[in-house]
Amino acid sequence: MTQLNFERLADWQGWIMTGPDSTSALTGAGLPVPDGPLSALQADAAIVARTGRDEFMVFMPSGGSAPVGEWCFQRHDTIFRLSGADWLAVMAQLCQFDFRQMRPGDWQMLAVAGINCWLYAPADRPDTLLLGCDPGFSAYLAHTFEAVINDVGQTSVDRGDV
Amino acid sequence: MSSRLNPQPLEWIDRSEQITFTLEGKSYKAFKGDCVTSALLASGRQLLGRSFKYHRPRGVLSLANHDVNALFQSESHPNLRGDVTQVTEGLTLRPCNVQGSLDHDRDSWIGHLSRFMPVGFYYKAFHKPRRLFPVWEKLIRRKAGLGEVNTQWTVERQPKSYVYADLLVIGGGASGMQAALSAAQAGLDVVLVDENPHLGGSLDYQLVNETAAAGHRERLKSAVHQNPGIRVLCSTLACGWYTDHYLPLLTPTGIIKLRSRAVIHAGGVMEQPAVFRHNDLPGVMLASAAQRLISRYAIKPGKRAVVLTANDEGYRAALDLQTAGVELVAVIDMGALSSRGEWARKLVDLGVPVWQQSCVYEACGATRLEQVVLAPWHQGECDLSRTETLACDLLLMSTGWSSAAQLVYQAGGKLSYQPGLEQLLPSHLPDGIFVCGRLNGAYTLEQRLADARAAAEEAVAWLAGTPISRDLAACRDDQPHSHPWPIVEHPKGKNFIDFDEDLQLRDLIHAMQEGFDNIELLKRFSTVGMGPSQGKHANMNAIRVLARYQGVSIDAAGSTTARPFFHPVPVAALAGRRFRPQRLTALHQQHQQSGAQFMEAGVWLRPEYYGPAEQRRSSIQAEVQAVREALGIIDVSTLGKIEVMGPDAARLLDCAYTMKMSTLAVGMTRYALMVDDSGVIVDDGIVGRICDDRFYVTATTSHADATFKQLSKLIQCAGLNVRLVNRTGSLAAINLAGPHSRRVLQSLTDIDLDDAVFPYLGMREGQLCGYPVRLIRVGFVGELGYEIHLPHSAAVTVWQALMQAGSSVGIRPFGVEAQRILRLEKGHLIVGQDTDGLTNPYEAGMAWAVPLKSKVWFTGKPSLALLQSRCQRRLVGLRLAPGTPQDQVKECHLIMAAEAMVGRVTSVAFSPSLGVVIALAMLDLPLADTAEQVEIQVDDGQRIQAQLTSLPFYDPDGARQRVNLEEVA
Repeated sequence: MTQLNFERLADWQGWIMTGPDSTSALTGAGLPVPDGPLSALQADAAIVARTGRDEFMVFMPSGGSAPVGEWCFQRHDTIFRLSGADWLAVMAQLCQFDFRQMRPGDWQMLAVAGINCWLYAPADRPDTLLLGCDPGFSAYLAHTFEAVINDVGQTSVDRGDV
Repeated sequence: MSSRLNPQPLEWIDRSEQITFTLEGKSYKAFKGDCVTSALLASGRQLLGRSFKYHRPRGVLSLANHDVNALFQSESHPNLRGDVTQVTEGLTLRPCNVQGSLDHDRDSWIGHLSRFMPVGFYYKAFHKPRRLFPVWEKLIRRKAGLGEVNTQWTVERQPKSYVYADLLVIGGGASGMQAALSAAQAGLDVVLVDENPHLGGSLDYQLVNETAAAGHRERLKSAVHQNPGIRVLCSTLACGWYTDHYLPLLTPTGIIKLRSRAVIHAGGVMEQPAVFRHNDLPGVMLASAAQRLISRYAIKPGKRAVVLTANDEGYRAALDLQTAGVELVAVIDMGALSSRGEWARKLVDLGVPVWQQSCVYEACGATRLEQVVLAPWHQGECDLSRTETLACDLLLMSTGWSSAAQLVYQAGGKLSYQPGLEQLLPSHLPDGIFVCGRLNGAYTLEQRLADARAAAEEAVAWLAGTPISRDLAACRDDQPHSHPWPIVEHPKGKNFIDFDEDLQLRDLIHAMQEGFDNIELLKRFSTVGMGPSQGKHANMNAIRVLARYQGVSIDAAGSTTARPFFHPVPVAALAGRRFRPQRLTALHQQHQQSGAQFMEAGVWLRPEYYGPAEQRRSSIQAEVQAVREALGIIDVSTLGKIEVMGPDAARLLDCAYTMKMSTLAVGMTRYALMVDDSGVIVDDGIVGRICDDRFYVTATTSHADATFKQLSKLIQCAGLNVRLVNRTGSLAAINLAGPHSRRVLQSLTDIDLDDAVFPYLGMREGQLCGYPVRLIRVGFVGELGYEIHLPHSAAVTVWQALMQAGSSVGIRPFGVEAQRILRLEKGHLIVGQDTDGLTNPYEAGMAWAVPLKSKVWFTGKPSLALLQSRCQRRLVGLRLAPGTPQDQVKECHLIMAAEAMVGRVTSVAFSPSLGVVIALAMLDLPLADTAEQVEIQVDDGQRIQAQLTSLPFYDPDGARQRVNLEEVA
């Protein structure tokens, strides 16, 4: 089992864009356009998620090509990366979602530890989950994850001596 | 350890590790893996507890979490069940409900008065005279109780987790393991739970000496262990069933909330006691309890044993005793040997006497079993002319079983009595619920395995959407394993039905004679099945008694419901991990460095004031003074901030707010009042127009998300072409207020702040300290002020620059408390504080914000049109006499007229600007229109005079926020 790791990706930036011009804004920035609602595509390091009919969220490491559009707004989400083979056990204590259903490349918007988050399972990194939340909740979420990871690390499920 | 046997093949104890614990101050030795009960028995102690009502001596009954004879208390935990609580090093225990010690319980005399304490006596005895009831209550609670809660407890929380599976199998015995395997082999994701620390179930204690079972045991355990499709959770109790197969699984480390697509119940059966006089004496136990003691803990349960049986299992238990070196005095069979099988024949071959068609009439002994009196048994009656007495120290009862079907009942399943097996068995199951094994009447190992395979096949087919019909009785045994009437009457009683509640046979008979002749009434009047065991060992016999004495069938007598949770759950497990989101603004660290004292505002943490706690009052007054006379700065990032865009944006805002927003000029803002459909005020803020099809909306801190949701709902309902973006978290906001605000701000921004080009209520975009900002000229605190909306990442830099630039004029950060006073001086209400869940704009004195005539429609308009003429109260301003103590009047203090309540104070504070205490109050009409003075009733009942005054209290013309205050000042 790889060790559980929870880290903040400090150098990422994000945008939300909406309206009929959002698709062209994405393509103009060389970014892919996901087809279905609540689906995401990854291009290099950038993640583009479709969160509405013509609403998209874009996240990428600093220095990437920012999308430009009339109704395009910068977001300041705090982005965390949870990694390690036991990440499912951690999320099982924090969120009701059935993460067995989450496949690489999947995007979800869920309540984690009582706050709204977006979650993305990178297609190229197994046992890894990216989580984004309102920056105001970053201290709370980091503290909560640390506590749970500490517990999960110390607690093993009793399988009995079958 | 006098009673410890040589190592047993499947024992749970680890003999390499010794543990020491204490009970009543006496030290005992145990092995790792021992439960409290087994460790005490190993040390030769048979007396494990005292009964609830009569303080009778009690020993082992089930050793299976089905009774509470052995109940203990540790320093931190009440009601530890000795039968299932593992001993840990240093554990310190004392018995529950004992006055003195276990051996010398000073309350044991109560049993001698049992004839004066019949069933339900407490309903009749203590209600008159009424004044004495508290005395009786105190006495009863002291004499009859369970563990004591340690009120010096430390907080203990066990995390909850969510788990999903295709199939949950409850019960890790032969049936459960086989069902899990068959389902997993068909591709299902299976969770297998068992309340014991090891899989095996009855295979490992009832059939431990059966060579034929050994192969199945090895195969099943190995296959389950190796199958990746099965998650095994031992020491885990499925303690409730909720809709759509949502089950709480109680584990030693907390509750798992399992959502399963289907459930197979293979929880087996609970052995039921026979009922005869003194059936509760230490030394009298269920046959399965003795088998558990031997196989799990290597404990020899007695030296000389008698076995009372009505089935084959009793003979199996007798053979196990013989193997363990216990002298078998006799087997007393309530039936005939001819109907028994191979185990009975083996026992007869060993020369053990068998008394056929007989029963135990009475067990004898003072504090433990010394002998039994047996008598011929015919059609439910003892022939007392031919009794025999047998000396023994152990009596096993093997007279019947009851399905562990509590969760089946909860899921809506039906059980009906099967005369062939003399047992209640599943007859109807709801969708997704399946049963197998002894719970379903399959008793032999072959029957159980076949039943498990069939149940798994049925579950797999049902989950695949191709349900198959299965005959639930296909694998059931054709021999009864329970006696239809294992109950022996005795004129002196003490033949217990419910061991938890000390309920005797005659108690139930008396209850029925008093008219409680329905199972639900009988339960509530007699409390049968209402103790900690929840009827696991009592309900079946109680139903038999009810049926016989009412002359009805078992099915007609009915059964009670086992509600979730059917087993006690620790509060720590119910509590779970605490999730209490806390939201910090981008400037939080800045505030900490400035000495802020924080307060909670919804999920946000906001500065209440800046300065030491002991200087609270002076700090707040200084902050107010700074805003009024120089310059104040406050973090208002908690405001809701929403971008509204699209061709129908103005129409949306017209619908959402009372005032007309479509007429708003570009670059201007307007106060925005939101009411719900019933006309009640729910939010306020401002709406600013950026261009024709784009607006910027702010909302109150606590209602930001709800406002966004309401706008989203209106877009959907009205089919509007509008886009919303909630930027509450992405944007910070800072309010700069005071006479010097314009001058200080102008030095840092490229936006022209001149009054001629940036008037009051104007909104402009530009650069501030190199960051893109949106400035709004609003005056919530009644001074010249600018709200600066800026990127989250720019907040600290801009704040520091403003503090630097304002230092020459005495800029001071102010907190929520100063802001509250400043806005109170201006008579501005706070939604949620000065309004409640019924307040409409007319009551709040905001008729000016409700343009009923000029707007065709807005949310709440029809209600407000009605409410306009039905106003019953109004928000008024109050001024207290100079010299009134600042903290005497508090928010929510009542306003009284004679003895009638006519209003309440909604906001109150000392106004540094006016030098008196001022307040807002909701006052009934017509008093609000006519009264000049009112009386406020304060904490000690005293009434304080307050004078009604017009609003606002401060700067009624609003000159300070509209014009160049440097000139005014």
